[in-house]
This record gives sequence, structure tokens and C-alpha cells, in this order.
Amino acid sequence: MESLDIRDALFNRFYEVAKADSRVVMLAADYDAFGLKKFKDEFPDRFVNAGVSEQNMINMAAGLAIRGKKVFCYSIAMFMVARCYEQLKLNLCSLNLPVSLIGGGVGFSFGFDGISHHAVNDIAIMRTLPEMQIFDCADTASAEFAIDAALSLKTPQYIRLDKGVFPRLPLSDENRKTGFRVIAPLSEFNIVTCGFMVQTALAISESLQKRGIRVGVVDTFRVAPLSDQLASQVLSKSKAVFVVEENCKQGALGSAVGEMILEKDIRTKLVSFALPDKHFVEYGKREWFHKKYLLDEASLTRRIEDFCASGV
Amino acid sequence: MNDIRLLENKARWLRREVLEAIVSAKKGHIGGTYSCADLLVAMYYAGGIHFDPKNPNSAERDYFIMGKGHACLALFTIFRDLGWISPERFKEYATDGGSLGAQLDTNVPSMEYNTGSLGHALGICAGMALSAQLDGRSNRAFAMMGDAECDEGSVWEAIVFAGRHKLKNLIGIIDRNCLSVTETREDDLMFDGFTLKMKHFGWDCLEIDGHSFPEILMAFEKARNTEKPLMIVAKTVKGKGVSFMENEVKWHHSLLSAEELEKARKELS
Repeated sequence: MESLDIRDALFNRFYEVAKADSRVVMLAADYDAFGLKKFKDEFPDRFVNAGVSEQNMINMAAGLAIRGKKVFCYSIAMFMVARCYEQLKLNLCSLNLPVSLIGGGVGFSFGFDGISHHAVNDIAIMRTLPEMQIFDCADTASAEFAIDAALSLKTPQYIRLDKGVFPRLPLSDENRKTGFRVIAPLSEFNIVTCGFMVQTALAISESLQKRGIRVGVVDTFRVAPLSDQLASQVLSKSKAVFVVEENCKQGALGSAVGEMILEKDIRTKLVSFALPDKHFVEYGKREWFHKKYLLDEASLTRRIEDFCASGV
Repeated sequence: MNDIRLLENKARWLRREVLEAIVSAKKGHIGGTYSCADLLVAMYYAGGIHFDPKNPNSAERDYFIMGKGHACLALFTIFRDLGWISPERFKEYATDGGSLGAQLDTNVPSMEYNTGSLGHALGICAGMALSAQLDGRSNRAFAMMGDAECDEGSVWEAIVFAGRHKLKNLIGIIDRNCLSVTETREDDLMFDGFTLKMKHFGWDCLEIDGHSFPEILMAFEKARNTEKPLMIVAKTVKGKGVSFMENEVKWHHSLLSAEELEKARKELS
């Protein structure tokens, strides 16, 4: 039974790799985590507070990486992604530097802090950068893998880091290669999802199973690049694909899956369950947002069941 | 080469070569290339930066990011002179599919950055300076910027960070030609009392005549022995070296008439 907060799992693994590899340096934009304490205590020179200067943080990360350091940047997700787009594009991606960006506060984690903090467009933004690999961690296993991948990747990487305790899901060597895992057996109807919504999807699958409707669940923890195997193993075997995500519809996981379906001329129905494309000038807990925008378990179960029942 | 006369000849040669290349290609940012020509000559011919002519990527070299990358023709010319760029490759400047453009990229020997957007060079150099410090190395990192470039907030983020963290192996050079693309920078809002401003940000600062080799060499000498990050503000003239170009906004990038070309060639001979 998983008891470890996903952040602690990530930063524990970070500490292990940093201890083993002296090239590892972390820059943080006036942001911290309990799990970083060990690293900061033992390697104070290699933790640099860049201050409330995200653009300079990314620029310095580039300079450090050009000189051979393995750099991690840590910040609130949207501040790094939206504000620093040019730095990411020119100074990390066009140079293809192996810098890993850890973005905290994904989705509506900061539900009371307004639009600046809502990371619901970051996947769409990062998808426009061809070199940027995107990891969305649903559990401690994928969080640890994201850090492992950071050390072997030769390209920029964006890691979406949630908060809280999530059940640990199996992650095989094959999964590490393809960037996705099947966590509820595939059927003719399959949910493709990532990050926080993975748990919701599993709950939906279980509850529909009790009513005799089999719905598979796939966690695309590596949102970009999406493996071709997703097409061959999942999409082309599905009568309908339900993409469930805590992102605005435009440009995110649904778009990525849709593009794949079009490109490979796959005969399947794609149904997208996402947030509307708007700015959410409203306040509430994450669960409140999900309920309002029909991304909670009950609403999604109903909507998916309706689709399955209608014969699609 | 510390002989002032030789350096001035070299600078005149550089301006001539840049002129011919721009005329040939019908493309180039002549004004801003001329304003920093003397600084670049001092860097590459008078030991301003430490580098190995036989190896553009030597481990012991000083790192250099040319923030104002639109002045790249000066560097292409110098690198051709050093043998880093062949005469054939030089001729590819601003041709379709050619390997030399109106900005710098990492395919140019010793250049580690794809230029074109202002305000990033100083921060990237801060990262390089930090890296050298972490490794106990003595490499310095030089960033050359325009004065209008200092409008960019990211420049000031880097300045504050470097001052706070005492990156004494970081040197910024501002080519202060008092012109941007569209206007004359007559007010001194940015640069008035600059040395004092930089002092309060934890930097040392030298304000020099960017066309006087004795002053330029003095500044680079001071850059060898820093206790703090150092900013060199070089007061320059955009279009320096050709009388009708000097201080004219138009010559950020403009093509010469036949008459103008003849006059320019004469003045640079």
C-alpha cells in the first residue's frame, strides 16, 4: 500500500542519482520541497536558488548544460512553461540540451490561486517544442522513472509533478521503452489518460466492470513523444478511445491521440473528456473544479457508460 | 599584438571586409557591426579573451557568447582570418542554403548559442561562469550585448543573480552606440550613473571609449583580475569608420548606393 507522497518519491530518486553523479545540479525559482532537504544539506553547492527569475533560471540552466552539467530546474509549472517559452525554445530546445524541468502544481492543484497557477495548458505549449519530452507522473513508479530517464536522455525534458499519495502501479521495462502502460486490460473501449486522472480512470473502469462493461485503461506517462506502439497496440484495436485529461482540450493529450489516429488512418472513434478552452477565474479545491467541469469519477462514469451503451 | 597602430589597421581591415561582404550579399547589419569592431579586434588579436587559435573549443579557453548576433559578419571575418572558416564557406554568407546567415549558430566554430533574440547571452554566460566555479576552473565567460538589448528584463535578472552570487568570472560588454533599430537613445535613463548602479548590484564597472584601443586594452587587463562580476560599458558610434554612417539610425541595416560605396571604400582604405 503506497504511503509515499509522489513528490517525496521523485526527490528521493533525484537524491540517489545526484549522489551518484556529480554533474547533477538543481536550480529552483524560489520554490522548495521537503524532499530536497537531504540533497541541499549534503550538496549545498549544487542547489542554486535562482530567485523569482524563471527566465534567468532557464538561461543559466542552458549555460550549465553547455558546460556538461546535468541540470534540473524546479518551479511552479506554469511559471516555467508560459513565461519562459522563448528561453525553452531557443536556449534549451534549439540547442537540444539535456535539461530536465520539474513543474510542480499541475492541473488544479493550486485551485485557490487563480489562473496564473492553473497548469492546464502546459502540455499543449510543450508539445509545440519537438525536442521536449513530456512526462506526466501518475504514481511513485512513473515519478522515479522520470528521474531515471532524465539521466539517460540527451534532450530537454519536462516532468509534471503532482502532490499527494497515489497507489503505486506496475511499470515494466517494456513500459519504459514505449512510454505507456496498460493498467486495466484492453477491450474494445479504452481510456487513454495521464497524470492525476489515471486514478479516476481506474476507478471508472472498476465501477463499469461491475455493471458488465469492460473498459481498458492506458497511462501515457510519456505524453510526448507518443510511441507508435500506442497506435498498434491500443488505438487500432479500439472501437472507441476515451481520452480523459485535466487539461484544456486544445492541443493536449486528446489532440496528440487524435493526430495519431488521423496520421495512421486508424478507424476508431475518439471521444475527448477535457476541460473547456477558457481561463478559469474561479476558486475551489481541485475536486470542486472536476465536479463542475464533469471530470469527477461519477460524471465521467456516466458519460462513458452512455457512449458504450449507445453502440458508438 | 599590443601595438595600437597594428590594432587600428586590423580594425580598418575588418570594416573593409565586412563592407565588401555586405555589398556582395546585399544583406547585413552594418551599423552595429562597425560599433563593436574595435572591441572584437581587441578580444581576438590583443588577448582580450584567452583562446587557442588552433582549437576553437579548447578546454582552457574563455567562453564567449555574442548576444548581439546580428554583428556576426565581424566574427565570420575574424574566424576566416584564424582559419576556422574557409574562404569558400565565408562566401556562403547570406546565400540560399548557405551555412552562414545573418545570425550566429552552433555550426560556427567556438559559437555555442543560436543568436537572434536579445537578452539571453548574459544569463547563459552566468550559467557557464557558475559551472566553472563549481568545477574549480579558471575559465571566464564573456557576453557582448547591445545597449538597447539592456531593455530586456532577463538581462537584469542575470545581473542581480551574478552580483548576489559573486560570479567574478562573468564579464559583460555593452556596445553602447546609443541607437536602437528605430530610435536614438538620447535619454540616459538606463546608462546615467551606470557605474554606481552596477556597484549597487554587486558588480564592478568600467566606462570606456569603445574606439580607443588604449582604453579597451586597459579594460581587458582589468578583466583578468576581478573580485566581482565586471561590466564594461563601451561608448561607441554605430557605423563607426564611415563618416556618413556614423550615428545614423538608417544604417542599422541598409544598402549602399554606388556613390556611397565608393566613398566608404575610400575612407576605409
